[in-house]
Amino acid sequence: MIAATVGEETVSAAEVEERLTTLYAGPLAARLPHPGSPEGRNLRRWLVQLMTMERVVAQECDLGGEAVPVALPVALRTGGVVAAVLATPAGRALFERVHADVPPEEVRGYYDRNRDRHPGRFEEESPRIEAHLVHARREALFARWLEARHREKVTLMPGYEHPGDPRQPDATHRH
Amino acid sequence: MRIAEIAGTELFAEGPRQIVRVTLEEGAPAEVVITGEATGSATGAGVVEVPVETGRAPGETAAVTVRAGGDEKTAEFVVAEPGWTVWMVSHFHYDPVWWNTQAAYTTTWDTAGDAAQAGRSAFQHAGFELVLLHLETARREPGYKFVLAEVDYLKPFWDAHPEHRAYLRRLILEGRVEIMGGTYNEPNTNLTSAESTIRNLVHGAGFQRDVLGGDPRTAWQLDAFGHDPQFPGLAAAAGLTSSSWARGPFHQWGPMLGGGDPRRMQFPAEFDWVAPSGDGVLTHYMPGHYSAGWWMDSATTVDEAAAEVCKWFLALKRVAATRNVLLPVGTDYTPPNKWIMDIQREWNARYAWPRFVCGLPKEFFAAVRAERAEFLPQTRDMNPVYTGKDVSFVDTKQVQRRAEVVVADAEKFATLAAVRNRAGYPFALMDKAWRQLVYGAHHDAITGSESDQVYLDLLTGWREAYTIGSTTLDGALRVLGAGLSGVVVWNPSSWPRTDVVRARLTLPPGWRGIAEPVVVENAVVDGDGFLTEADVVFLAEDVPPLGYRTFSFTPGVNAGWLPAGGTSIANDTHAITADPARGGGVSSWVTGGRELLQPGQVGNELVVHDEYPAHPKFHEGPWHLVPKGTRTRSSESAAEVVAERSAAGERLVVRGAFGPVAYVQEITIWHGLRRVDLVTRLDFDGADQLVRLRWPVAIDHALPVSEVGNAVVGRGFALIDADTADHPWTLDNPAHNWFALSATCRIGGRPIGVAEIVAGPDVPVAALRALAVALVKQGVTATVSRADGPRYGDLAVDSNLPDVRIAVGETPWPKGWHPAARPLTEVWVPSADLTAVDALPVLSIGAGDVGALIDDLADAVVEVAGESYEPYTVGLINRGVPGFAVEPGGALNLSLLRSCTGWPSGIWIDPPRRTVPDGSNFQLQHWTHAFEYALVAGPGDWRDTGLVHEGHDVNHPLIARDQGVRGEPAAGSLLDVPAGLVLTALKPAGNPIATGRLPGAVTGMTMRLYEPHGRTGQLDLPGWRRTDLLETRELPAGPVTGMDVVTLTRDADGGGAVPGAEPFQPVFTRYWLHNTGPAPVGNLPVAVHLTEETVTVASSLVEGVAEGVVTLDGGQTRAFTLAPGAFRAWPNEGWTTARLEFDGQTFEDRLGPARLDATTETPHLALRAGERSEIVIRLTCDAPVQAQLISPWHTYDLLPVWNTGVGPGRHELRFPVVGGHLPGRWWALVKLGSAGRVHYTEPVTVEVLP
Repeated sequence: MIAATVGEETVSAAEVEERLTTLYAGPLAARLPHPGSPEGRNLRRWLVQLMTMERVVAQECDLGGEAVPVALPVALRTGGVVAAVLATPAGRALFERVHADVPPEEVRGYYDRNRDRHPGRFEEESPRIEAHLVHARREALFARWLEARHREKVTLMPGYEHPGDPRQPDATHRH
Repeated sequence: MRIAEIAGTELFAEGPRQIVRVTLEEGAPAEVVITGEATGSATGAGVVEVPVETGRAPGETAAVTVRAGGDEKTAEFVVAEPGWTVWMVSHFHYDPVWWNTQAAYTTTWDTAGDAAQAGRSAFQHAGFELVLLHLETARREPGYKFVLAEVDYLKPFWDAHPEHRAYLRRLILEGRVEIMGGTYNEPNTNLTSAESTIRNLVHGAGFQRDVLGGDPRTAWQLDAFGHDPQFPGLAAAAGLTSSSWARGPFHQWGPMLGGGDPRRMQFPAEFDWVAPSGDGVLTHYMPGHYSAGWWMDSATTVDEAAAEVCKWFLALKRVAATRNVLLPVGTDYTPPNKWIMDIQREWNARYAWPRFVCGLPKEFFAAVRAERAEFLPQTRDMNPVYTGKDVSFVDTKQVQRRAEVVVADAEKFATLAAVRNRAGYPFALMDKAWRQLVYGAHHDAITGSESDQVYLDLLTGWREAYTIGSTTLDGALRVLGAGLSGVVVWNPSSWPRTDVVRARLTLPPGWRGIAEPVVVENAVVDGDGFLTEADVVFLAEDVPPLGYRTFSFTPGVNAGWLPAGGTSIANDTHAITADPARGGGVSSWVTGGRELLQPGQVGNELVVHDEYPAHPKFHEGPWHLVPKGTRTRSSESAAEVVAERSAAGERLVVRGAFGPVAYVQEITIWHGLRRVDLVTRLDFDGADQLVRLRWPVAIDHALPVSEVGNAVVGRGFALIDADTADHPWTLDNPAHNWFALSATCRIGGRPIGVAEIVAGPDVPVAALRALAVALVKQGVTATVSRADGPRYGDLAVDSNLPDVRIAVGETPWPKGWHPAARPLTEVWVPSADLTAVDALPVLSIGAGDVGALIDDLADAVVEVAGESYEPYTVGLINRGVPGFAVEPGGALNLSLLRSCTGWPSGIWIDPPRRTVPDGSNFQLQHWTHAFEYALVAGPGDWRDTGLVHEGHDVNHPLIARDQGVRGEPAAGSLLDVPAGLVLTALKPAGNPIATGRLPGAVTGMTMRLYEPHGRTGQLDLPGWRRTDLLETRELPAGPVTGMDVVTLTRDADGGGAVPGAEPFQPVFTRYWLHNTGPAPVGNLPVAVHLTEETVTVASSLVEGVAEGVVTLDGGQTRAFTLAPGAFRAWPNEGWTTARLEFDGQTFEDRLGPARLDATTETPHLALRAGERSEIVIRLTCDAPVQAQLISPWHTYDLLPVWNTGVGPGRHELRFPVVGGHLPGRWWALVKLGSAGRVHYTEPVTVEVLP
């Protein structure tokens, strides 16, 4: 049984269960929702997000399909799967490939609007501002690119949909 | 080349020219030319957007011919309307408490326990991080605008991050951030007193306006589980002009639940929300929920995200009152949406209309008002939503009510003591008490939606409010009662009272009892058989309003409860019989010669309904009532019934057990009182069950009536016996002090309670508003709909049901009164749909007859020739048990408690996880509970029966003080209040602490009154001036109309401010890390904060210079002088503690880990009345530890010491246990907070043996 396909590769349901078993055997176990509950099923969906993202990253890195494990606690603590990917060597390698430019007028605009942070002369402050804006832009581009690649490459099977997908049966925005 | 498809859109290019989308199949780019009733051309391949000009009007059809690359096709499209704007409002919804803790939600989510990650969505962040992320986006994106709201993160952020104050002030000034709400948080106002709601507004507006410098205008109540009917009036009186929220008229997710069409709504999303007082605010209901626009965040391209916004535009525009759509872009704890600014840039560059704008609610409301002056009025009851909220963690609702009462009564008498006796007023303590009540009123707190750990955290807040109230009340009565002798009985009500009162009296030597008609209970008898002390219960006659009367006693025979034989009791008003064979249920209740119970049924019956752990379809837990449709009744088992008499009254005592319940019930009638006083005590050990208390009364055609905050409204029958898998909506509702079967208003022989006003096109909106107001002042809420629109009354979409229609003007109904085709009880069935034209009775009048109908409604009776009705009322008064359900057959049900195992029941963030000693989740409520309630019955409606006064009196018992058993006769009233009005608050004038000021001497008094019966009267109180809720504006004098809430103030010199302090010092500055609720006593006027990099000290005062010294690691000091709102920062030279003494308190911030070990000595304590014991905690720590004993509210007297702490070192913390007279089994544990970490000790069983 297949949980998802990533390009030419597949993520089998057995692999997901294996990873889930590891999780339930680990230090998180006592705090995890019952696997049969809607929360438990959504945890499995999160795991599939991670596993498919690992494959996407591996394929993009040309590492011969060797997945780079992304840890679930890291994903949840740091604000998402993309952030978790950025915490892996492969993710950082991919991020290095992202280039962004910020037009000079944007740097000047930022300087003019944020003089409380940049009280010095524009010439002194602009390199720092540019670096800051470029980095923010690269992060945004990377996240968008990675999510787009994930969207293009990954097909999720029923039961393994994105946990936030309102169409999946366990999607309950509580409150 | 082939033209595959031609479609009109709602999009416009410059011109404005409507865009027609022409899809070309195959081939190179081609010119597409449109001719006919619309003309235009464009060149492209694939989907070509062709802007066209047309002479046709919006809504009409245009026939066109389309030519491209040799192909030609004809088509029609609907001409769209330009000028629409989608206001994308960037917001995040923050709850300080829910399944996760205050600490995690505010700052520490990333480092909180693993359980804090399991329920987290990937995009979610803690409050401070969110504010920073939105500020950063604002710095990068000059067009970015966003909303900040709840004080629970704003206040800590303002204090801990003063370096962002200037930028935030600038954004406010530039109109790029809107400080929203004018409330402290998003309270569930339907579960608290109206005064708690008012203080929520006082603290919200005070902080947001005075301290932050914002201009809150829109009550932002996104997630509240329904709203109190008076809320819009209170919001208006607090200076707000609008409101916006997602729950109320329709079920939980709104009309679009499950892909539903919002056009099922009977009125536009923008409407005039009107309270029973007649005041209201323009309101935007969010048909797509407050999260609607957030989900585009997961789009992978800007086109995809924009398409999502466009989809919402097309859906929401169908129910917009003007060409403005509010799209909330955010959900719980969300960062700035990825696409919002790209959409604004790219969409608006491509299209002229609709505009997609990142904007603020105030811009949306300004645009709405600019386009339309009048909006349909709605007095509709915005309930019920999430019926589980009325009963989950019921003990917290009981303690909220008790704390509200004691705090309000303490405030009244302390204000009088300050003005009459120049006593000092404890501003800081009373302010903290109110803030705890306001904090606890949050929609994930008072609703019982919280996890087990959060429940324990919240309990300390209610206990603190209760403790401050009790202590303040004692002090005030000591001052006011100085010089009085005897047993002094105080009346906190604003009318004269004759009522029973309980006093603990110390008796002089040689007394064996009391000669007067009293009950002596819980006596302590010495070796010679003489009483030394006892509870004395007696009828205190004619105690003046807000005043006192002294009573004296003479020695006599000990008159306790004596066996009376049989199973019946009687007094001048009632005769009551219980049936031991049927669980001790009341088999007969006769008053005024009338048997009130339905034949063959028993009253006071306990019914245990089986429930699902979570809703079978919606999955959610504690906030839904989810009965399975099966139940067990106390009447199915036998019980013991004992009748007893005393000199003061008679009672029945019932003892029984069945299923998960063991119970003791007392039914007491007093000589000289017309009320029946009842108490049910029960021990419960079930899971996923709901315990209701049932009184099947017989009153023909009567309808449910419910007191709400400072008003009374009709509410429909509930449908409690169906399986919620098939019929999800039980229609339980929350009552304030009481609910009843009665008639709040009637047309001819038919009582009415909930109306649909169906308006013809010929009726002006002003007339509709006047009619809706006239109805709601008599307790009839109304949905105002249009004759050509959908009808109200389909449970598939509506949260509640009407019982009458009033058709006005040109409607399908002929003029006149049309009785319903079938009785109401036949159509009011599970999943009812009452939208058929003949489902309900209809009163049809002409547009010109509105004035006459309004006049007719002044006495709550619309006369119909040949019809008559004799109303009769049975009311059930609760003490903090709000959940009620009246079955269509007439049975009154009070929801006593429930256990729910559904998420987040049992969730625990900071290990080790604690449970009730039997191992169950706290949400299951496995301990001894007591429920006090009362019954009132009589001819006439609820007004004639005096239910408002009775409900108030039961909740505000007379207060007795032992100043000797014999004394001088004396009586007096301390304040004149007009008869006919209810006083709900008497306080020192002004709100210094809430508005960022240090309190000074009392300079005046402010009182709040409301009219309870729908009657209009003049208000003439010399010296008093009308003012608004915030006491900032003077209002013109005028009559008080039905259900009005008025605030009056007068000058009066009073005592000074008594300084207040937290019981344990030093106070940890980052209080939220200890999950202790709102800011400490005094509201942190100056806050010291330490980070690895800096030491800051920041003033949140709005006047006066704050001076002081910060001491670092007990050595170095830094002096500061701060102007209002200013801060100072110094580099941290490696310090780990920073201390500040200010206004009589010591505040400390501390970095780094602190050691904390604690063990509990005895896991089980059992004792009898009068015996003493101790809970002992052995503790080792290297930082100050705040220690708070937590236990259910029933044990406050049992565990009198609860809020303390210790400095670094090894300690034994000892909490005394004092055996009381009521047996039961409870639990207690100690929450330890140290340097930002919390630990909960092992729970101890505390058992009082009989």
